Amino acid sequence: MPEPTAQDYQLDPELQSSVILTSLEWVKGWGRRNALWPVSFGLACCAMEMMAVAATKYDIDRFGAGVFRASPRQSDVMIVAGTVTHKMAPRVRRLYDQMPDPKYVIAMGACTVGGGPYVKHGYHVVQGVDLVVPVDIYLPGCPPRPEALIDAFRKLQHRISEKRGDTLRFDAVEKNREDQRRKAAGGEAAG
Amino acid sequence: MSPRAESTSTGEVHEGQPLVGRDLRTEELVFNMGPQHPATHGVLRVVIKSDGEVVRSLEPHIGNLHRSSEKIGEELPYYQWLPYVDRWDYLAAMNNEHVACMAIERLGGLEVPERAEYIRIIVAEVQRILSHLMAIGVYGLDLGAFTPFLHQFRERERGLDLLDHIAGARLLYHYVRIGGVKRDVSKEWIDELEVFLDAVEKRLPDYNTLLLHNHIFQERTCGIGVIDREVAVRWGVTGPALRAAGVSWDTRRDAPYSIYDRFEFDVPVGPSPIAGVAGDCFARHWLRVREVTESVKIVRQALGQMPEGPVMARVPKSYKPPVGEVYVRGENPRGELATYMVSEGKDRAYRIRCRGPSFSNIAVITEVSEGLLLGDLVAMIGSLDIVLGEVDR
Amino acid sequence: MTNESDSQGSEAPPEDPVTLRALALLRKAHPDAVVDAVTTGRHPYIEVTADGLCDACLLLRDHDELLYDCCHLVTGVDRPDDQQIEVVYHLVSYARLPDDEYRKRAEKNDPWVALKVRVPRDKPEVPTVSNVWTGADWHERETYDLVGVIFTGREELRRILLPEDWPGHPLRKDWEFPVEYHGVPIVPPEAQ
Ligand code: SF4
Repeated sequence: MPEPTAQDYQLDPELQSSVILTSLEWVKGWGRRNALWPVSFGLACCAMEMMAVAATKYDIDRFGAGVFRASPRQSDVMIVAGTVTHKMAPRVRRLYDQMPDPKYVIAMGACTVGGGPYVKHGYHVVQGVDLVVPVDIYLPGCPPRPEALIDAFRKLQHRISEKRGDTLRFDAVEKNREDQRRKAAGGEAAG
Repeated sequence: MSPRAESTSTGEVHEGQPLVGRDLRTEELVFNMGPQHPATHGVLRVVIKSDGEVVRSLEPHIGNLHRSSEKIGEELPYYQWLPYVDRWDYLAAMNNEHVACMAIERLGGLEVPERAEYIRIIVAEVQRILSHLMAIGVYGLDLGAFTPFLHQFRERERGLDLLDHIAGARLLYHYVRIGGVKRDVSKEWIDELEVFLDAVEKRLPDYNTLLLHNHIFQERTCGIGVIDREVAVRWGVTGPALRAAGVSWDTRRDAPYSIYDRFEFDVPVGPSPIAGVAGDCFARHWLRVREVTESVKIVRQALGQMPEGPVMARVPKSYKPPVGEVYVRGENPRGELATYMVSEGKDRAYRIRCRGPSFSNIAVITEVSEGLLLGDLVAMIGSLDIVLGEVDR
Repeated sequence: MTNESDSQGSEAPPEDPVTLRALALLRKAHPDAVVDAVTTGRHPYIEVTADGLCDACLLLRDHDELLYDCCHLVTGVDRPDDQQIEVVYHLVSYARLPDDEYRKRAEKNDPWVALKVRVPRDKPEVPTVSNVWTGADWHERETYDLVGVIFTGREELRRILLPEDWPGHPLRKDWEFPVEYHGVPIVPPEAQ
């Protein structure tokens, strides 16, 4: 939906050049979109590519997402770069919970998308980070090239400005909990 | 007297040293560093018991990146397992592949063509240069210097492009295969490589001005986190950390694998002539810088000697080495990588065990970090240059 | 030995000098400890009894002609067919550098020695060597964690890589995949 402009309200022509009309949501999205602060959260090999994106050649700062913060409390996007293991999963969840709203998650790399190369015999690897935290952007590759990560950022920014960030994402954590709840309820009913 | 005061580069006790280290004891505090911490190089978690600013004892907790590659090795055929090897030490994928392929080849008694051996050495040494560059830059980052990081990434990207050209990937290559390497290198590639080597040699003095000869850097690293010879050997520390402690051992020279015995190169040994004592953070950093030069030397020699010929031996489609075991070690940028492999005559290994150098290198901090200041602990962990993928495998 | 390996097309495979030397000294000092030994091929090793392991290790570390001052690796290999678990130790020496001749004489090219201990699978208890080489500490913990070998006589043996409450030891051949861990589902390989 296009944003309303001053013309839509048939203002006085005098005023049209000096008044900007828009929705508050749009302004907020615009601000958010262009100042994403990722939490520097490197887990494994993919983190090296995340570093490359922050460094000289690719320079994510050009897209307004270069302020890597060490603390989740200061950031609004989490790039889960690397393999999430069962030992690490509760910590990933805690970091996510510590981030202030609105928050976004990019699942970087095949490992976080669905277990990646370790999906079959890797007993200690979580088969997709969306089993732990809700994910906004899935970025496949092992490791994804820096260009791909930049693209993921662009996609996320697009999403934020379209205000769809919160509604579209697939929340596997919730689904899993729901499933278990249903299973438990079913079990009780049967018992 | 606090250990820090004892070991500053000039040997004098500074004003304002914490009293607690000497006689006054205050309440101890237990806290947690990591797994999400920029200075732990990944997902290392350290539980620190501290007295004010002074570390009393600490315990590393690892396993947050345990990806079960040994189990996978028992389930998949050798050639399918090789890509997992890259992911042990993801900053030194070529070196990992080299050692793993040597182990698999030695199990079955495979001979590798001459040219392939040379290409393996070349890519392994280029990888060592890249890995050390990263270590140098990130160490600056740990100590609060952002500029060297940006500078080294310029050269690193060039090198990554080179490997990208022959392997098709930037980080994890799967280029060294059982019986040789995937593809031959072209004349143009070699020219590019020479340009890269020149660039690295030209830029190294710049990095040294930024870090090695920087007074602040020296103050932060000289005499800090000393791992002496006896402790290093007892804990099984290898690689630059071992050599910085004064042990002249480099697997490439002393137990040469592949064709390393055909090259001339120095093995630098700590302490650094610039400043500091043997086995301190400064010596380890200095040693990495020196090793970059040595690797450049090796690559140049290899380029000069490289013969023409095939790059792949004839390997049967289903490669089944006879029953037996091997233990193969090689010098990785971080230390000695070793693989123990047991074959039962099948197309997959019966048991694979990898000895990652970082695994032993990080264990030593339980002993040597006692009495360090908290800020120096970061300097200490950074100077060991661990990669968690290899600690946990 | 030297002559054998130098002659081309030799009948007997070359013997590994470092293993031979260690074996001779071990046999002399602790004849009961040594069970068996393989001194040729790519992976020569000395098999010792579990009880004699500590004595053997101390000798290897302290004897002037051996000086194996670093324990490179501790591993366990599960062998359900024999109802046994092998515990393998690889030792290296930084105090004694190998002579140049060494490479020509041995097939494995590399001056380490290996020790093996075989213990029954249902009672896999081995005395610790972490008091001989401190570095063996973490390796033992990992071997316990993944293969389930119990090292006795050391300070508490805890898991190192896997979480404390992980079910079983994954590198045992008969280990079964769990279906979930703390609410996170796992799809086992058979189901994929
Ligand atoms: S997706 Fe590939 S590169 Fe990324 S963490 Fe997983 S194994 Fe490493």
